[in-house]
Amino acid sequence: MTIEILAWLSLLAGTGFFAAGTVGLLRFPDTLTRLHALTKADNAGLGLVALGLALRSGSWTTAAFLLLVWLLVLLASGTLSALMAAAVED
Amino acid sequence: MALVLDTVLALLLVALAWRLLQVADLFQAGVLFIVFGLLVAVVWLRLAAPDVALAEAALGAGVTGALFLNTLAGTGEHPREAGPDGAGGGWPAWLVATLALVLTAALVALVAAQTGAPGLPSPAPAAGGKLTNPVTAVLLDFRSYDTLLETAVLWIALLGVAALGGAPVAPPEPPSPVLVGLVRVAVPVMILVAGWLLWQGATDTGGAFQSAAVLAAAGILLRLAGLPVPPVDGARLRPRLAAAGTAVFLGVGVAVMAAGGNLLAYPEAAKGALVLTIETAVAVAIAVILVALFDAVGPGRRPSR
Amino acid sequence: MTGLTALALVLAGLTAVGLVRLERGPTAVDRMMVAQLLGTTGVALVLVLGAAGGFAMALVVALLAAVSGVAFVRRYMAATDAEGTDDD
Repeated sequence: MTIEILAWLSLLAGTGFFAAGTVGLLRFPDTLTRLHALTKADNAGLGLVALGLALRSGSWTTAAFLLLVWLLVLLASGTLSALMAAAVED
Repeated sequence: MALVLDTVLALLLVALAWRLLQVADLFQAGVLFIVFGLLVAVVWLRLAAPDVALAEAALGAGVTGALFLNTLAGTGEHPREAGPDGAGGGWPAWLVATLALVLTAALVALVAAQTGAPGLPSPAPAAGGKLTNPVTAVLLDFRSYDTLLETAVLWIALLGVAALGGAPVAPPEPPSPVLVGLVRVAVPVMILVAGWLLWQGATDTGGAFQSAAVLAAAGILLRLAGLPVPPVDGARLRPRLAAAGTAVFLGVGVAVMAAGGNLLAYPEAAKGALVLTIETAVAVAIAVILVALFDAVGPGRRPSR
Repeated sequence: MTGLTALALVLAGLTAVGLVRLERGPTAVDRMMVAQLLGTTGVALVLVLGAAGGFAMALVVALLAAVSGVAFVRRYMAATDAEGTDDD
């Protein structure tokens, strides 16, 4: 039962970070600051959602898979943020 | 709740499509197209068609997105040119809106009038046998002749592009250690995922086309990092690999004839192995074709007119 | 699972909200960032929906969204040089 509650807290928090990231993308004053907003959704948002789903699934395989997806997204978005930021500076 | 979700998705799709056809800046249209592709993939998932969703996500959002951006970089023209009759092609807005509404109403009426769930024709699962993924069963078994011709079409497309601009050559890229870091992890993962999709395509979600799309994306990523892509770089290897999809497909089809059957009528015992062989060749061929197409357009590669 | 569907709805709604930045721009990087955000939101959406084949799809979307982003930076941005702003 507690696992279910934890899972839902995690899912809700993750969605909250996604919302924060999206709102940030809209409200921040300039391109580079908006890039920061993006990373909140990618890292914390997806991470917490993945954690919540992993807790709900009750399967180690599923949890491992979710972890893999999250790590790949982290790597890709980190690289892209660096590349895009460099492109903006030019 | 599910209905609300589906309605929101459907409305978003329509809004995106309308905007992407209307917007003047082609780059903006390209980005809208990538987003559109992602949403269509989600919709396919909602319609319980995961194989199509996978293909749409990989091709529409990924490979085609990269192709568009590359092409836009090569052409250097971004504003959409208005036709001689103006942006709407001469049709007044009220007429277009009325037509759209009438057609949508007709579609809804047709769908509502349908009794029973539409599905694949009943011979397909029986013909599938070992192939429990119905999509693969239809593509590679029930309607294998169509798929054979489709692989030929893709190969001919590459021939056409090559005829226009000469052999695709990759432009030199400035080094980027950050990107190489990503490539070091992403490309092996993509190759593994492609292999996994190919393997499980017979029984689960996946297949040759999805696998090809992921492989092509890996090749494009290598190309963007300025790294060599041996299957595409080899001036003799490339056309042979591109043709290999059709060749192996046809070869297997004819070989089963020699064993006493009809064209492409696989013997039940060997069906799994034969289909896997065909799918591997087709996946590699399509991936090579897609990367070669990516090379053929882009900065510094203007096709000769 | 109505709860998960509700979450999926929220994520779909966020997608719609993000499109506003796609409209406003003003630079090409801003617009491409929307595509990236929607890619990640899409991954979350697909995972939350929990449909059959969803995991393969989430993995593929994550990888392929990165590829179109890299194509943007390495080809499009490189070709348009210092000029990143565009007016609609």
